[in-house]
Amino acid sequence: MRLVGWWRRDVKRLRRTSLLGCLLAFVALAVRPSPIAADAVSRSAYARGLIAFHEGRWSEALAAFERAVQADPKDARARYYRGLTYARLGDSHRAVEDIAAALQLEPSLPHAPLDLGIAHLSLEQWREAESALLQAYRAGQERLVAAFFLGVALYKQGRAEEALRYFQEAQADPEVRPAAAYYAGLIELAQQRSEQGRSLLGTVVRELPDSEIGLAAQRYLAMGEAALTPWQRGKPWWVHGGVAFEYDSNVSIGPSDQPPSVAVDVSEKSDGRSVLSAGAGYSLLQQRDWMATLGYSFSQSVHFDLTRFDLQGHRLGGELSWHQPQWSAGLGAGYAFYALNYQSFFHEGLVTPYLTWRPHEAAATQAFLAFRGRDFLRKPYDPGRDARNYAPGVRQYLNLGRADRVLMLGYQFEIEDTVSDGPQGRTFDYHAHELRAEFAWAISEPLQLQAGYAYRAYSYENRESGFGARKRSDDAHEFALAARYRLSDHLALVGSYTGQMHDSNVGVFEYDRHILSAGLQAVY
Amino acid sequence: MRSGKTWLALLAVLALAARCFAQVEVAASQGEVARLRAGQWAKVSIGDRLQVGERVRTASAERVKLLILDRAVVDLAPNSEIVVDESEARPDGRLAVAMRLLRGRLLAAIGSGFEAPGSYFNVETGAGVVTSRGGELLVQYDAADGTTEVASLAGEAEVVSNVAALGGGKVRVPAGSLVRIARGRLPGAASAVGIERVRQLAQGVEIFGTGRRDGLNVLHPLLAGKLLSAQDVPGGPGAGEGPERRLGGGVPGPALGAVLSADVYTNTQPIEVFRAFPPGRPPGGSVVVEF
Repeated sequence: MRLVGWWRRDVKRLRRTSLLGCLLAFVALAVRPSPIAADAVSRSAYARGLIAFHEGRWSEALAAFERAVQADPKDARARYYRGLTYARLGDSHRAVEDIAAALQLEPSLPHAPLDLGIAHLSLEQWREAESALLQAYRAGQERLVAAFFLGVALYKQGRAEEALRYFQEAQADPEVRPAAAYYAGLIELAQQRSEQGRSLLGTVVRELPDSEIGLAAQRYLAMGEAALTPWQRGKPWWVHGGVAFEYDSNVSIGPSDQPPSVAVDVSEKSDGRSVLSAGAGYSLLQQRDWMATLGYSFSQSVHFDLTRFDLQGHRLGGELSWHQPQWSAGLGAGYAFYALNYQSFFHEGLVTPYLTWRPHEAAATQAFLAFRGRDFLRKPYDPGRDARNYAPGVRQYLNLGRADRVLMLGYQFEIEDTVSDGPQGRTFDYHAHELRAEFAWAISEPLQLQAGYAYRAYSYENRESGFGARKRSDDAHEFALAARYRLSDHLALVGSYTGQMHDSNVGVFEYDRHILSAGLQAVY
Repeated sequence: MRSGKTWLALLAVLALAARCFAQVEVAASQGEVARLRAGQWAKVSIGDRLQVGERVRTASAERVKLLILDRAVVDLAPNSEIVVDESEARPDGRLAVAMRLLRGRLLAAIGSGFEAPGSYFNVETGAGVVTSRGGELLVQYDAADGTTEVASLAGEAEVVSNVAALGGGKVRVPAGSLVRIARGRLPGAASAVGIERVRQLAQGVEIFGTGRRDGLNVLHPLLAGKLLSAQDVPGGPGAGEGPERRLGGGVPGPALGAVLSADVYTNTQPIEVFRAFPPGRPPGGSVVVEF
C-alpha cells in the first residue's frame, strides 16, 4: 500500500515538473522499480523466456531470463531456467551456478536436482553429480532417469558394481533403457560375465542400432576381442594367429598366354597352399593424445606343388601417433624380411608419416608420404630391383551414414628409383599412378565385409624394361573382397578373393591372377 | 484527395488489425488446452498468439500461462475458461486489458505500465469486475452459484459488483486480503487473511516452466546413444576406443589385396621370366617383344 502510494504520488509530482525532470524521474523509476513491479517484470520476462526456450531460441531465452533475474534476483524459477538455458548453450559452469542457486532459493524446485546432477556430469564433476542425482533419485522425480545418470556418475568413479545396480533399475524406463543397458553391458563384460554383457549389448543394437553406442555394441558383438584395440582389451598386449587354405590361379604370375617364341616355360601355374600366420603386439603408450604400438608378425605359405614359391615373412612394425578431435598425425615405421623357398628373398624398411584432418565425425582427409627401401638378396632381382620407393598420396574417408560403413577413396603417385644405375637397375625404374577405393561394412552382428579396387598405371623409365625394344607400360587392376564371420570372442572364420588383371605393352608381363582363401583367425 | 482517403482507410484497417492481433501469447501450457476460434475449438501451443474475442479453456488436468502485452502474466487454473475482450497498448502509452473469467480460477501478475492514468487491467466475472494497476491477484469464479472471490498477493486491486446501486459498491483489496462477491450482491468487506493464506489459495494455479519436459535429460546425448567419452566402449572400464580407430586415424597401408596376401605384396614381377631372361641383358633372340 505504502509502495503503491509512493508510486502514485511520484507520478502526480512528475506531471508538474519539467520535461527533463519527467525524463530523469522516469529513468530513475525504470532503474529502480518497486518490489511489486519488479516481481511482475520478472514474471513477464520469465514468460517471454519460456516461449523462446520452448522454441529452442536459446540466446533470446537467455536474454529474457537475464531480465527476469535482474528484476527479481529471488525468482528461483527464472534462475533455474536461466541455468537450463546456459546448459543448452553449452555453458555448464554457469548452468551449475544457476541451478544450485535456484535450489537454494526454492529447495522444492521440481526436477532441479536431476538437472544439477546432469550439469555436473557435463563438467565431469562426478562426486558433485552423484550427490545431486542421489537427491533426485530419492525425491522420486523421474526416478529411473535419475537412476541412470547416477549410475553414470558412479561408473565414472570406478564404482562399477554400485553403478550396475542403478543401470539395472533404469532399464525399466524405455527412454533410458538402451543407454542403461549399454553401460550395464560394459560392466558385465569387464567383470568377465560375457553372456550377460553380450545380451545387454544386443538390446542396445536392437533399440539404437545407428547410435554411437549401438555401433560400438555392434562392433563388439560382430568382432569380439578381435575388434578391440589394446586399449579396449584393457591389456597392453595381444597375440594373434591364423591358418588359411588358398587357391592361386597364377602363383608364378606368368603370362596368360605363353609367347610361342619363348622356349622356356614361363606360363602361369596354379596351385594350392596353406598359410600359417602368427603375431603379437604391445601398446607402448596409451595417453589421451599420444599412442605408440609395436608389433611383430610372421607368415609362412606352403604350396602343395610349387614349393619354390613358398614364402616366409617376418614383419616388425611400430607406430607413434598424436590425436586431436580434428587432427591426427603419426609416423609408421617397419622392417620386414622375406624368404622365398626358404632362402633370403629381400628385406625392406618402411617409413610413413601422415597427417589427417577430420572436420567432422563422418569425413576425414589424409595426406601421407610412404617411403620404402627394398634390398633384394638373391638373383635374378639382386641388385637390379634394389630401390627406393617414394609414394606421396591423399585419401578421403567417408562414413556412409554409419560409423561401420566406411568408404575410402585414394590417389597416390609412386616413384620406384632403383639403386643400380646399370642396365639391371634401368629395367625396374618406373613411376606410377594409383587410384584406389575401399569399402568396409559391418553387415550384421557377426559378419563384416571389406571390398577394394585399385587401378595402377606403371610407366617404366627405360627401354631395358621392355628388353631393349621399348619402354614397358603396364595397367593393373586389382579387386579384393574379404569377409569375416565371428565365431566367438576370440575366433573368426575368414574368407577372401583377390583378382588381378595386369595388362602390358610387353606380352610376358600380361597376366591374370585369382586367389581364393578361407581360414580361421584367432586373437587374444 | 482520393489517394488521401485510400491511405486513411488503409491506416484504419491496419489499426483495426493491430487491435485484433493484440499481444496475448501462450507462454506455457500443460495438457490439451483449447482455444475457441472461428467457432472451432483448437489445441493451444506455446508461442501461439490469441486474438481479441477468443476463448481459452482448460480441463481438469490442464493449465495455461498467457503473456499479455509483455507486461502481465495470467495463469489459468484447471477447469477454467476466459475470454480476452481487450488487450491493447495504445499509442499514448496507455495499456488496456480486459478479460472475462467464465469459470474457474486465474492468477494475474500485473507489471508496470498499468498504474498510468487511463490504463487498466480488468477481470470480469458474473458477479463483478476486478481492476488492478499493478501487483498480483487471484480471482476465482464459481459459475454455478455465481460467487466470485478476489485475493491480492501483492499490490492493491479494486472490486465492484454488477449491482448498479452505490456504483457497484467499490471495495479495495489490499495485499493479503480477500473479498467475496455473491451474485447480485455488493462486495463484502475485505478480510485480511494474510499473504500466506492467499498464497495457499493460489497454489496449483501457476504452471511451472513451459509445462513441458524442459529438463536436461530431455534430448540428452547419452540417452540418444552418444558416448559420454571415447573410453566408454566394450572392453572394460578404463579401456577406450583407440583414436587410431577414428576415420583416417591410422597409418595408411597397402591395398586390400596386398593386406590379404603376402604373396600379392611381394610377388609383383614374374620371377620365372626374369630367371629365364635376367634383367638388363638383351634377350638374345629368344624373346619377342610384343607391341
